[in-house]
Amino acid sequence: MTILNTLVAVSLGYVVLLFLIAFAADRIAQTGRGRWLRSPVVYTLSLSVYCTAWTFFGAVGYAARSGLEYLTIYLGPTLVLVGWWWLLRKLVRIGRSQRITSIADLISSRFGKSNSLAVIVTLAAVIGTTPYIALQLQSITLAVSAFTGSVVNGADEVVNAPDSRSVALLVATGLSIFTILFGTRNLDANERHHGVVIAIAVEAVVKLMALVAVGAYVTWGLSGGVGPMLARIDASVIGRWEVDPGRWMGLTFVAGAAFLCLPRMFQVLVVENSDEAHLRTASWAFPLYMILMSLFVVPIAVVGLEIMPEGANPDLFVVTLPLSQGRDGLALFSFIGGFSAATSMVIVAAIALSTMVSNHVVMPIWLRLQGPGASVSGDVRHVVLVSRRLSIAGVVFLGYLYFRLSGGGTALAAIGLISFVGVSQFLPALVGGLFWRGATRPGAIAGLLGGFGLWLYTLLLPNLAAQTALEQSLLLSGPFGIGWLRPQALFGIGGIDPLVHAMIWSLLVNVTLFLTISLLTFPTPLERLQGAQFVNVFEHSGNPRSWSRGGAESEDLLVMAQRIIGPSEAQQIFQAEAGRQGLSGFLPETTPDFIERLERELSGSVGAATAHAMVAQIVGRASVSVEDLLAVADETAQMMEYSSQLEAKSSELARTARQLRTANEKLTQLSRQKDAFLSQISHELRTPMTSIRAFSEILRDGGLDPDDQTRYSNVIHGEALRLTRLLDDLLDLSVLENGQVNLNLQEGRLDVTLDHAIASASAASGKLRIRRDKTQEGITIFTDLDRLSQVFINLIANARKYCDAARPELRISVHRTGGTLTVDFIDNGAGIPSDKHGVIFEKFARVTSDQSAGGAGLGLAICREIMGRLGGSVAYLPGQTGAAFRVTLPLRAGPATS
Amino acid sequence: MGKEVLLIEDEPNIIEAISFILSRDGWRVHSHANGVDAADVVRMRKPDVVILDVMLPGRSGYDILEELRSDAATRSLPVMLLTARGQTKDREMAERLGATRFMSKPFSNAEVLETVRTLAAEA
Amino acid sequence: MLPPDLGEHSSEGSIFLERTTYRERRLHDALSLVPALGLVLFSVPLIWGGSEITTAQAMVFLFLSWAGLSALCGVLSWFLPRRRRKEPPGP
Repeated sequence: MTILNTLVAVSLGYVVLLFLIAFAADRIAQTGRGRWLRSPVVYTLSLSVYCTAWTFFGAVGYAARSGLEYLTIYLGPTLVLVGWWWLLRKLVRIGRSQRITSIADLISSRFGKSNSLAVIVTLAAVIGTTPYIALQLQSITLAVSAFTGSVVNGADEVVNAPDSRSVALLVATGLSIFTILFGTRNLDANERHHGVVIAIAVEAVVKLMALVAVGAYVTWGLSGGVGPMLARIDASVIGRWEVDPGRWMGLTFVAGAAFLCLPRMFQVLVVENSDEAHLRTASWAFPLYMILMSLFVVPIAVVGLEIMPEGANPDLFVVTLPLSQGRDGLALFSFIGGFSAATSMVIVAAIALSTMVSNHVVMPIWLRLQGPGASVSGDVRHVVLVSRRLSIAGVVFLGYLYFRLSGGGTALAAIGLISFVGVSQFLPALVGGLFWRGATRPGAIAGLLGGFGLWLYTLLLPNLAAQTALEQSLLLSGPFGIGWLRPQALFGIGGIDPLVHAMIWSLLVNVTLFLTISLLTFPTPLERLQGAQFVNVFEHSGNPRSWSRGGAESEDLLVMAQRIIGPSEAQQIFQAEAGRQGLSGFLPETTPDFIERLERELSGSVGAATAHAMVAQIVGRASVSVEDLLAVADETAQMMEYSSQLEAKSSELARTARQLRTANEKLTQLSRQKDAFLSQISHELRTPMTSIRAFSEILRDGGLDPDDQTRYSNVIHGEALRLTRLLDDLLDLSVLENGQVNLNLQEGRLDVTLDHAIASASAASGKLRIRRDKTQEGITIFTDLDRLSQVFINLIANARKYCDAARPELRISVHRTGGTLTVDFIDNGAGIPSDKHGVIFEKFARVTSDQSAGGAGLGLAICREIMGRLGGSVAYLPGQTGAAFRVTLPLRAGPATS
Repeated sequence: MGKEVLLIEDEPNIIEAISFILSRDGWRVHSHANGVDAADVVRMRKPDVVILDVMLPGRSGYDILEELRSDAATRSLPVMLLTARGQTKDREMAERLGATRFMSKPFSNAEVLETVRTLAAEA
Repeated sequence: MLPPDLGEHSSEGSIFLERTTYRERRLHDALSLVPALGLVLFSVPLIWGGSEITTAQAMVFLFLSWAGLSALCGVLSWFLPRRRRKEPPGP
């Protein structure tokens, strides 16, 4: 069994293992048990997609060529990470609150959800990443060739060396399949991929262990320990500190910028972040990871340069060094490490780029092709998935194509750095948008185009075809012989390192254009809204409104949302919102708040710009209302806060004033009532006393026949009783009002109580007809039955006294809702005029001055007090056929509370 | 035939008491319990003395008095006002409207009889 | 006049509260300064231009300052108060 066969077998086994791990992680996440899948450690390890095959293989080559300069690639990200409190925290917070799906989405979202900006960023990212993917494919094929080379060198047997192209194609196909399987399994609303992230984390561990294993072998196995190793380094060709200060600073900066701006880094840093708190772990743990990754780079390079034959590719020392020492197992492990580095980069980059391409290029085109109304017809979900999958395959094979066409000649590190400078062009728009509210869309576009154009011209172009004659003349004498336009010496400023030259010029132009154009232009309302939200993400987590309450049809929105994020999730969102608004069912009011939230949910699947466009199609307007414009005025948050406080205050004042007015009206009326009451009580007391005095004088005078004597005595007796009753009522009321009453709570039946009340109240007169529905009355209640009966008697007696219909009739109807019982007493008389409704329950209030009524006007006041004690109420029920009173009481009265 | 007293009052017991006292003294007593048409009854019956309660169903005794005083036929008719609301402002009201006498309830029988006699003699 | 014990007690409480927020603020300040420190440390090689610094010496310096920086950041981040924000669980 040759080492090549072993290599293939181990690689395949490793890939199968990764598939299984990713699959298991996805399954666990689906069942909701996968909390540990999102631990700070996993987050930190997933950041290792920063360390690609370039780092794994290329760093050694880099060190062999330029000494310690390779460290800048790690020092930049270290500064970004230890400074997480400044930038990363804000970036992650915004990414989470705005449901950002990619760096293109973030920049487009910040600058008014502009799709043109998203397209520019996407294209730039694809252009910048494609060579990088090619680099990964190249490094794998190179590493494979190292093994075949060794076998051929051994000359024991002739093996058909696998064509490097077919290896690359095989790897590209495998990676596409893996990425499509686990990267587009579903349209995650948060764009998170559990399986992929876990696989990446495993690969992170594998590649670190592989590199450390080789380094340890070189240090302790080949050099005899740390001390001798250091001496050996100093004795080597790279033993002198020779680093160009410009490159040192420039590369540190570019690496830091790339750490933020690389699409794959943005993906793992921001999009896949599940908890802001993970940053605090990653901020120190990932620098440690990078320290370990780079610790043995120089030793391997130094020993490789010493031991390996002249002309051996230093980029492959990590594999060829162990191989040359007969350590096939270590070489194999090292290869797997490099394989891990390459594959994890390609997978994440493909996911990130496919999201961008699909959301910002394919979807908008598809939507436009579908014409108006597209967002509600057809399965958008399906379209998004298909476009994502095609994009992944497209991105990976674009890398493969680049690999094929470029011929794989350039040094690995060069392409990596070129790519870094390219993506760092996003930095001004990104950071400017995060910290400066004055940044505008035209500024961002101009900066990006200018910076990226210069990058193409000064860095990519010279590198692309350095061999051709045209290129040489361009580099030496400039386009059309214009000397000061030479790509590597603009304006005649030559002699600088080409990379630093390109970096300085492109970023200088980028930043200048970004600032100048931003200062000169005025942001659109939506831009200002988004800008305020991004810059002040920590101040207010609430969202300004970008949708006015318009004609948005709730149902249309639901149909659309179902097609994008799936029926159950969409229905859940709509139902929750309806519930929050106090509605039942699935169709809430389309408040600006809700549309805003829905749009953000949708943007988690298709990106902010597309989601905005789709909602706009239904809501019918993408502009911002006057109200919104006011909201973005300076000091927005404070002003709104203040004005809402004022509003609350003034409405409270108005409410108080209204209450005061009502109270005042009532007081005035009560005062009039009190005057009337004094007359009334005087009248009520004097009338019976008049009869008593008159008849007692008559009796005293004597000379009456016995019949008259008896009759007059009875009159005196009756009037005395009437006086007693009046005094009893007054006492009763006063006791009730002072809350000194003891309730005699007991269980009883409502119909029995009603029977009793009707019997008592109607004893004097049978004229009033009473209609009841006895089937409704069979209810058991727990209350003070005597008091309740007193209320009923009063109400029935009132109807008997005051109902002025020719055939007076009283309807008693009983309803029960939950634990509450209502008993309505409705007569067929003229009812009570509405201006009296407020006072009939007051003491001595009498609607008519009819003396024959006989009462003192205390009945209803007493009823009201009793019902209050029983935990219920009695109220006048307007709008009935006649006078109507509603008694409400709980089925079970609690103990009196006051 | 004795002179006629018209008693406008709604409380049955008081009607009976006053009727008894006056009839014993030889007066013809006619009672009317409703305020609305009380003035018409006065004009129709042309009594010698009117005893008028203030709180009547339908119409207040003050209203009736005012109407009687504005009518030439009844302007000088002796009217004794009876009220259970014995406040000063009631007395003032009665005097202003031209009541011949004012008496608050409860009254003494002798007083009522004396007043009716006096009023009838003056008329 | 407050009774003396009550007055002392309440003033102690307020100082304690202020001290926590004050410490938290200074912690944020320190954390914000870490990258500046890193920038200074990583710029040191720029002044080595003419001197005879060997690669091994440079390595020792850079890796030690690098590890120190990470450790400092780790310690400061560790002492940051942990506010567990209740976040809506992902669907």
